[in-house]
Amino acid sequence: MRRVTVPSAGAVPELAGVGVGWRPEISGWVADRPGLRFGEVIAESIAPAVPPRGVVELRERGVEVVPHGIRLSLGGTDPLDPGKVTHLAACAAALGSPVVSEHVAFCGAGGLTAGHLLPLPRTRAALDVLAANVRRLQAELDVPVALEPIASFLDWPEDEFTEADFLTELLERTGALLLLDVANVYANAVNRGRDPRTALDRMPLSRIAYVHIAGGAEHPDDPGIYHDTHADPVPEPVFALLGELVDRIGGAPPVMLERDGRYPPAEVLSAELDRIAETAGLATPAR
Amino acid sequence: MALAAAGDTWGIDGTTFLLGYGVLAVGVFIASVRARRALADPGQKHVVPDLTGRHNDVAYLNGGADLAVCSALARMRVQGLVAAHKGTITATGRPGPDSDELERAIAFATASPTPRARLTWLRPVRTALDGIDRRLVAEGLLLSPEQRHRIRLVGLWMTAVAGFGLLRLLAGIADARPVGFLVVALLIVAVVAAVQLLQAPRRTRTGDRVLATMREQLDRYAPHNRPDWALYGAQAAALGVGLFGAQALWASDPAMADALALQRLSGSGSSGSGDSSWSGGDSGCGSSSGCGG
Repeated sequence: MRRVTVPSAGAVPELAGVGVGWRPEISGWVADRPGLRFGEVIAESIAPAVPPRGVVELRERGVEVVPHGIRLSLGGTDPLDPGKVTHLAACAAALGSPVVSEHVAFCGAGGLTAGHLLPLPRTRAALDVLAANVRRLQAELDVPVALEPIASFLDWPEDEFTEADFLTELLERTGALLLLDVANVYANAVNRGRDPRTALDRMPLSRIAYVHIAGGAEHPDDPGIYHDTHADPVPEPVFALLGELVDRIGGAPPVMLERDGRYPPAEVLSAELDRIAETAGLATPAR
Repeated sequence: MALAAAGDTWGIDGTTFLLGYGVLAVGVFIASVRARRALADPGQKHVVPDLTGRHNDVAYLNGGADLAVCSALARMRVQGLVAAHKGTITATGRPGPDSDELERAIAFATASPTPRARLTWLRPVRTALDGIDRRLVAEGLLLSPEQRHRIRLVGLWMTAVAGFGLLRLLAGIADARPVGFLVVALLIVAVVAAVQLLQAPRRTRTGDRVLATMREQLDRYAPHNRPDWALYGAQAAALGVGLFGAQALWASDPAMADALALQRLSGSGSSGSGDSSWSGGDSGCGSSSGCGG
């Protein structure tokens, strides 16, 4: 096992502790959740001039809120939409965010939008495009950007890099930070018959800004394939992988639960967040 | 001001009368509105109750009997106590000790399949609803029939103004004077009088304030948030429907709303708060379809 220097505190000092993805459907539960240190809001779902009331209340409580973009298509060959870039920057300014995040992915091409985050071919050409787009985004931002590798079911045949090497090169070229989703690492590894711990070892862990964790499951119609649904409980192996991550970085990273649907009763979700905090070595918030 | 001429009705020229009549009508209207508001605000004789645990009372206060039944059904459905299909309700379980009289009555009434729209007419349900009504009146949140009658009677003030205008109109016609503007003024006054005679608020102003405060405090259950009832629980579902109307159910659980055959805009529960979301479908990245994020 490779151990790296504790990165989180140095990368984005304002981010710490346990967080949760803010969604309007659960805004009341988020508001009542004690000890929450940070949250994330889907940038495309808010108007920076009038953020949702629940998000404003989090900020008033001193909870950091990170705008999380899902449609910038940083890996796309189409030019970045200046409006979307400006919007993400405006969200960060409006919320006083210490960092913004987006995905290592593309969302469409030739003017067509897929409606999903699509995996990039890990080629030098794709890396050039991606790095250029990230730098264009950074030029508009007053805060760092953290990039999240996605979960995907396929690799392009022309791949020239492993995912870890691709990320490492990208972060070195751009100075961006890493938003590591341990559930994505798990999904990508198990769906390719690999050991998630080995995949973790190769990631540029020293660049972590914060960590995502989410639930998933095998779809009944798709046995043997793990789906990163964000609508199921966090499975034991993903908790275990979070523990492995904590061991590797030798400290407690800021960890955030992403849950987007099929919500359980509040006490179940609270227990899951407590479990995340415990696994990450973070203080369990008082109920 | 025009001077009176020999042929003027009652010795007052038409323009002067119209001006005076307008001032009189506006003055009486303002006084009547104030009087109606005062009658709807009997004062702080009562301690303002906390309705948080009385979801069906909240619904009744907001939207009357139909909304109270919807609120109860929302809670019972989340608890798995009723099944609904195309507006027909069938009890599937026995209400627990935390249920109120209305829920017990609905469970009893739906032992065999019953259309939701008929529920408010069934004796046990009607009895429970009457109990809620009496309770809210006693607490100073709803107006009693007598209070509402007194409020409607204030409409007699504008009726008197209309009667006075009618006398002038008839006199003017008898004198063969032009009466077109007076007819318009008289129609306006008559319509206002009719509305005041026919309509009275259901709630006291205290009741309005209680609802407004609860909507503000429980904005998390407002339709624009599409609150998740599985997370918040059955009580919250009932409160959401009670405070924000049936559209709260359409926003959060359209399958349930459809099964209950609720109208999309029934209930009177707009929160009035703006939806700051840009697009409803962007709340998450993963969902069961999985965007990879």
